[in-house]
Amino acid sequence: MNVSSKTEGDALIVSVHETRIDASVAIQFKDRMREETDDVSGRVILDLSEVDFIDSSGLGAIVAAMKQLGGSHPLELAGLNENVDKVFRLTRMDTVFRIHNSLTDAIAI
Amino acid sequence: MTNPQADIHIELEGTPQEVRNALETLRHKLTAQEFAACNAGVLEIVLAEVLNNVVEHALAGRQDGQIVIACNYSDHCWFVEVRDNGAQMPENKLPDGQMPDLERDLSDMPEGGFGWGLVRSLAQDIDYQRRATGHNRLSFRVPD
Repeated sequence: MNVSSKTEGDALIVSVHETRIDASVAIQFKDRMREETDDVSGRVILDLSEVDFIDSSGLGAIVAAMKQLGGSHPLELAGLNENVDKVFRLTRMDTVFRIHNSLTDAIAI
Repeated sequence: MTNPQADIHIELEGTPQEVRNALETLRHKLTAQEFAACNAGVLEIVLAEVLNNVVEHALAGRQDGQIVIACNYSDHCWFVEVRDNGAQMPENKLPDGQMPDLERDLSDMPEGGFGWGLVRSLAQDIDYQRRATGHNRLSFRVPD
């Protein structure tokens, strides 16, 4: 599971360099998110622009990552493609996460 | 086991990695053939949830799980059949597909239970049969 992170202003940007977050990698994703956000101090933006497919297990892993961070470091999302966005909307998870149209928009706030 | 005339025919073993491979094969076939505009993304979401459920429930703890997928496209619609040699659905019926309630505290937010909700949101004419041969047969259609 290839994931990297960098700091931009007050935000930690975690980028997923995989095309899929699915049942076969959900646990690795959760573990990598914990490692990348271990000593986070501000908000966290999850950059999904390289991801073209998630299933409900991948969605669950993103929810788990948000819960790991706790309420003081909200997990925001950016770069959702049409199919990824559809999974968030159909499950109503788009009401739980703050979703930005792009990483540029997310950083500008 | 399935109609060899199927536009797309994929056989796989019942593991998460095989599901991923099968969906990548599906996507490859969808882009390689004339189906690119035929709601391929939605077909992939529905099949992913159906296959994950088969692997996680019907074939749980099994080493000999086999799944066969057939997808036929006609009249602006995908007709899909999925067969497996796993356990019968509980009470011989499909899950109702109610999406989990999200009106709760962050620490109680659900991390699962979305699969059948997605299937029921995106697929139509969903039919389940337990065959006397010990197979499950699920069929549904996905309009484009």
